Amino acid sequence: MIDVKKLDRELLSVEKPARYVGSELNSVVKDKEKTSVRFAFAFPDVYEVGMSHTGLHILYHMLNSIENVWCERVFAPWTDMEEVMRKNSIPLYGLESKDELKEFDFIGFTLQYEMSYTNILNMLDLGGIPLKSKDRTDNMPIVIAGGPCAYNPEPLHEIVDLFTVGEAEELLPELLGIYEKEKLNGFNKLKFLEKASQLEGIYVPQFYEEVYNEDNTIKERKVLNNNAKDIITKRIIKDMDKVYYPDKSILPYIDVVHDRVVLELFRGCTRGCRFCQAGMVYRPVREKKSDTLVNQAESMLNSTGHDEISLTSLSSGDYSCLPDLTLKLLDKYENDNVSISLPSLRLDSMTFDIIQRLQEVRKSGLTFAPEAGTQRMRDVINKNLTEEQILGPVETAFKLGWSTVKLYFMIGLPGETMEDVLGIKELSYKIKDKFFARPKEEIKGNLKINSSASCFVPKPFTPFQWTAQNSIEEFYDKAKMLQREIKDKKVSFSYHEPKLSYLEAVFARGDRRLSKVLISAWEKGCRFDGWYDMFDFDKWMEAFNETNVDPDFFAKRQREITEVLPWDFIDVGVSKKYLISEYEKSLEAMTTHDCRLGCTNCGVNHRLIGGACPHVQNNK
Amino acid sequence: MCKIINKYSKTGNLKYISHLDVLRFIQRSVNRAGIRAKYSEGFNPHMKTSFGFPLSLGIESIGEYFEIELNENLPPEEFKRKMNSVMPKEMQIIKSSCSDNTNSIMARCAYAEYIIGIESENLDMDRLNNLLSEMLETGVVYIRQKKNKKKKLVNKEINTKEYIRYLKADKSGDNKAKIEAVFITSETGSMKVDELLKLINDRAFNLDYHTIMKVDALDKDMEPIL
Repeated sequence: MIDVKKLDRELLSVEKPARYVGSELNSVVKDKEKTSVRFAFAFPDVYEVGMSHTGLHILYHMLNSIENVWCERVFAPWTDMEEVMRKNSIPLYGLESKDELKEFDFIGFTLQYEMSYTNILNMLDLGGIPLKSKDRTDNMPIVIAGGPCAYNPEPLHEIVDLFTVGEAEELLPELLGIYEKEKLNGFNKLKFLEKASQLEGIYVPQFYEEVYNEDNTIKERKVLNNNAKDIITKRIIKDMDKVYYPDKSILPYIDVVHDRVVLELFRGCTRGCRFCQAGMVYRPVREKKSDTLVNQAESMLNSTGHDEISLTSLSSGDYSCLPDLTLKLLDKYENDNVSISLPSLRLDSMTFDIIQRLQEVRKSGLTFAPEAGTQRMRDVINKNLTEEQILGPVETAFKLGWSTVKLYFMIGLPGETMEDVLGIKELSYKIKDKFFARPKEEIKGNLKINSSASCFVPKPFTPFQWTAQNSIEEFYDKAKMLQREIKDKKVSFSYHEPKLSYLEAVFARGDRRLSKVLISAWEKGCRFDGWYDMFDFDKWMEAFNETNVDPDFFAKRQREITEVLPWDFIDVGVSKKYLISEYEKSLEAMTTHDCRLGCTNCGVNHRLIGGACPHVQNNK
Repeated sequence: MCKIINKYSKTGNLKYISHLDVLRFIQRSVNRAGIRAKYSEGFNPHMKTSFGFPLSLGIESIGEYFEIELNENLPPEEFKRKMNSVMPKEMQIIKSSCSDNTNSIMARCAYAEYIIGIESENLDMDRLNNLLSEMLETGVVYIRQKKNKKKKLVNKEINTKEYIRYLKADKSGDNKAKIEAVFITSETGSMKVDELLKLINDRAFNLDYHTIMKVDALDKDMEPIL
């Protein structure tokens, strides 16, 4: 255990000391003498962000439901706490036991966004653990990583011992089982990694080598170990009603980003937006039954006392039993002051009656994500949303008394013209006009439209994985033009920092050569890069210079369809052929329909589930 | 249906939880216990609870107070039992009772009683007690810096004797002492334990470690609120 008295002496000097002490309701403390595997679930960002992540709550309680496993949490200490820890030689520790990281068998990082990678290095270093896999001996913790960014694991290949690709609820217990067996007869890390790499969905980077062409593109990947697979296939959970879901979640004392009961309605999405990585890699759609969800809501509410339930999914409105579920929940909880929120909802008339009832408990704002300002651009990205489908629901919402609207757009989408950019202003203004185009006596409230533009980042496993990102200058030109053009008091416009999106794009499609850049940036003091006030672009550019890596090569280069991509060895179920055909259709601004209405042959059913996807309506 | 007043503890790691977070945590505990509380009217209904003076971060307490209005007839004892079964050991209700006092808890508080543990190399008890009685009887003046409404730093002179009612130290081990303190609390201002410790530190007592426990909040007759 770390020196707790020393910690106690210093904690009052840092902001929000409750981030660092644990003891929350529903957190799990076990007798370490009675456990054989100690797992640190590591979230490479601050406590409030990490504790808002549903995956953490699922895997934490899932692992702790195994008798001999004790899973604890560890977050990235904020800079003030890092300073205190380094000055007083307090190593990074698990929140529950206060044991330092070195004492754990596994440190499992979840990779939610590329800009958290420097925090991974920093957390290992604060734990006194060598950064590189090859420098860690047999008696040191195994460093593993999973989550959405593990679909392109290569920038972290030197750091992480093994990656879990896909959904981990079934994979992790298998992996820990292998580990325990290996521990019985004198643990040897290499032998364990060889055994682990035979599991479906496990990728051990040290068993492979990347070979490059003269022009810096990838020539081939070599397999260096006989146990390693050529292709790593992602893991999926087949039956969401049977898979582990916790009946309680840890209740943070301090205010976190999402402070509510989260119900996951289904995994996957059928819409097929071409910019969206989640929509491709989480296929196929797998729903939970509404009764399963009602039961899960009940035990979660009883164990936490939350007063809000959030029904989340990539696109909650597509849940086939949504009316049934929301009405059941409303009838049950309406009188207990429990409100129900539906984020990521696509609005149509069916859902409006429900939304109205939801508002009776607590009023909330409205958020729309048209993503692009013109129909042509929306067709290119396959948003499958017409202007009428945006303005109609907005009008209804105004009628029902809403007056605050958030609009999400992207700039820098493939093939975007200045006219498309201006479309963002046009659409925002059309929405404003809808508000005032009513008889005076019907207009209630104070209209506020908040339009925001994020900079498009091409991601692996999307039809846009080959496209060039806009340059930082182009992003600024577009954003600044909108800022000049939008001059209405009722409409406010904000945009995301282009430099951040540029770096995100470099790492999103990066290969093994980025590993040394990452280490160099961390050495220069980069931390919390996703936090705008912490982000130091110049340090990053120095790191690229010193390591002789050209970031433009990864962000701004248009790839050939035939090029070997750094993530080609991972199979997410959706075929490359499908991604290519979607990409080609985008060039013609041709749309592809929602695959609920009929299979669009993405390939996920042949390769992962066998037989047709359950959500397709015409497969009777 | 009476208003219920409760005295509760906040110990261990929960000393790092801020006042607002405690408020939210107790309201959630009410939900977990399945107790039906009264809510305010309006767009954003909230539970009808009221709390005593905020406790500074880093201080443990066995004398915190809150009141709550219920929508069901629940004897105070039963309220306490139900709440304690869903609250952690570091936060438990010590006493519950019906309350017909219309004054707020804060208005009823006149004093706060603390026990402060200090550790220091070569702790000279006589010198310490001389300093403490100086604070109590003649008063020690110090400057408190505060930000005013314009976010400018302003200095305010504070005299200890206006805020301290009782102050005494006893040896509790090698280089260890326990200080018992009763501070005057009012809605216009009070002295913080941290300020007392800083004054002791400034007089060449190098404190290596300290613990602070608030024992109770007292009314104007020096009686515990509950």
